[in-house]
Amino acid sequence: MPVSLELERSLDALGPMFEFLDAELERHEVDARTTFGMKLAAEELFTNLVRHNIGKGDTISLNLDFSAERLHFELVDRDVDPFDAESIPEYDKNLPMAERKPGGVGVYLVRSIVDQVTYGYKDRKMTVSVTKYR
Amino acid sequence: MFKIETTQEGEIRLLGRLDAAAAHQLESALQQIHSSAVIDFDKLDYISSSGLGELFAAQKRLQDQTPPQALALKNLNAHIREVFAIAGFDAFFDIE
Repeated sequence: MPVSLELERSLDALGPMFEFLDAELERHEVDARTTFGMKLAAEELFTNLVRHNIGKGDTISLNLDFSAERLHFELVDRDVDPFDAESIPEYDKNLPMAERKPGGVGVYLVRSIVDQVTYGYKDRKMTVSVTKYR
Repeated sequence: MFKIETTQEGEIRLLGRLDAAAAHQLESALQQIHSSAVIDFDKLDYISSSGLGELFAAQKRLQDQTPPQALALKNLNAHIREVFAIAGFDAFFDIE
């Protein structure tokens, strides 16, 4: 059964978000490695919304839909300008230290850990959806 | 909850969850380091890209010094070690 949490548009919301995720992941008997990965994915994507979207909504919704077959969540941000997911810089993990620039590693981690990340935008509402099959 | 301690051996110990909200604590601590140091991850449960970014910035600053200095990392749990490997950050640190 889907469950939701409204998160304050602030990094202070990470604590409540982790508590919520820990409880739901434990309830669905998700293993420790996958639990780590799902929490990481949620943090990276939520943090990007807080830092980069000039959303006017007070909160961002976290909707979970976990089952025996798949772990799915979406973050919904309201009253935001259009976002081009293609604008996220490509991350090259093989670049030497001197050539590295900040940015991109969070989304790269998410894409490496989960099976699917999609961005949707409609009526000034942006939805980031993540799926990992069990 | 994230904490930073200095051990009796002079090592830096990270404890708890190093997320984006806690990364500035690590940044402040690392800015005080000007020579090679060991960071113990034994009590660290979680890290995200924000923590990786602070460690990377400190390592780059130390290695650009003359003579070069470096952070060494030890006791990373399997999940954190995997995050370092995926990001390619394992190439930048001596990890015990």
